[in-house]
Amino acid sequence: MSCDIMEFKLEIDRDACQGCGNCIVVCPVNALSDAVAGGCGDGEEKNFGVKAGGVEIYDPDFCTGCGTCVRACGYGAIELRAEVPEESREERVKIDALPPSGDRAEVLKLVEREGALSIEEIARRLEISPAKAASIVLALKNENRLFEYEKHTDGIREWYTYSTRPAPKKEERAEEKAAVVRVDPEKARQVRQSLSATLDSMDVVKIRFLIETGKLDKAIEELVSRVKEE
Amino acid sequence: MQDDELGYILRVKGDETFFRRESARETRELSYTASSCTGCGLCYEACPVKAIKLGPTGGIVRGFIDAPYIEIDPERCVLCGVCSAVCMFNAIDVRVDGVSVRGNPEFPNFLRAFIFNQDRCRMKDEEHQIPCDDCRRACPREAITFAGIVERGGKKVNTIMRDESRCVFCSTCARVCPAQAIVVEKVFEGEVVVDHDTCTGCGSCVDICPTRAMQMPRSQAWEKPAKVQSDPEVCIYCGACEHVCPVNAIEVRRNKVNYSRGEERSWTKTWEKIFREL
Repeated sequence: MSCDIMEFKLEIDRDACQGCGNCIVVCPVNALSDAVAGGCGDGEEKNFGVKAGGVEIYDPDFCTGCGTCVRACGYGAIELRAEVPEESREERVKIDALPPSGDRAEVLKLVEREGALSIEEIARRLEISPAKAASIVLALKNENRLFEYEKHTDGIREWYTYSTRPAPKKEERAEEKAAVVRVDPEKARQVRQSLSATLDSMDVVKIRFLIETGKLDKAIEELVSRVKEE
Repeated sequence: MQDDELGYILRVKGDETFFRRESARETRELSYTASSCTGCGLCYEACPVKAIKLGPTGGIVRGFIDAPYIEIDPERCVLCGVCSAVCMFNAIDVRVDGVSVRGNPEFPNFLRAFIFNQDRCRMKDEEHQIPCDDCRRACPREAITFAGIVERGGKKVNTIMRDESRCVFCSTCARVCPAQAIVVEKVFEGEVVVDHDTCTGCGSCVDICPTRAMQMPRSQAWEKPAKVQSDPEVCIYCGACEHVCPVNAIEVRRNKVNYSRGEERSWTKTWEKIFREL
């Protein structure tokens, strides 16, 4: 436990501390120092001890942050706190703000030139795999460099085109309403019938679970898309 | 590593740390979910470049310190993916071009199995329709859900569902199953040695143990404090107790590691060495 440990600090509220010494007795590191006296003796390698009616930390390097003393304290006088240095926080922000490079820059350039593109189109134009294009686009979206522009659907699948500008809000909502195609119940029944053979081959347990959790419709949609692709 | 050629992004959002590096050949990204992590320190032991720092796990598991168990230094990390392969709790995920290292045949991976035999599973009382959910109640990770009663071969049987992402293959369910319907193959074989002279009975290991394998026997007030004992049957040898112990009284010895070699690549030998030295 000596090397490569995160920074943390043991703090004692001197006003709340009553000097009962429970923490000193339970501390495993203290007990290691003087096994006979249970942490109350004159051992040298000690975490803390009682001095002038209150607990005082001798050597913070011995503390392993196990929290046994915090649990033993009846007055809430001991606090453990992790320390994140200010420098590293600033550095992180700096790294986050770096301009995109490589394929990410290419994607941004392409989308800026074309206005709005779907992930599949981006993959085709740049000759990269769709999975890679998707991961790049999603990352750029998380960084607010790309925005969802328009929603497309063919009744089964749904996808977005992405743009460097956010879509105008009111229009987008109207379009979304128009774009969503509700599944006709009669049609769904037909699909279910035609797929019953496929469903029979599935695990009984799984189907039962899907019915109980109300996820059957979603599973059928997935099956339809898979059959269509095949 | 702030070179523009090595496109490099780091983000810390909620309990998720995420960073990504891009080269001309591939994109590698790492995500660490603090809520899934148990602070066992396997990744800290395995990391070949010492990019992972382990925190004061005892204070964190008891809720006295509000911090993630580990801290990954993005400047040191080379995104090799060993940490993702050794993580038994699915907390670290390294993806190469969007494909996870875990379960990928290009990388060596731990071998472990959960086999559920539906034919053996039976109800507590078939006549009164009382189902048996002993495994669900025993699971220390809450990975098993009771999935209801189904008819199978003219007989009514109860069924269970297992959450793959939560299960740690500890075999607690296999032990409690009255019908021996579950078989679990563990990753490690070994032993946990507790030095009872050094142990002070602080209970840190009992608090952190992800499978409740560490137990503190009861002792009376006038007796010397009890010493912890490890149950080898449900222990997964993750090493959480070894790292949390404030007085280094616990040693986890792993004698055998079950892993698949995967395809022969330039890194296969190094990874095998890391796995064997865990």
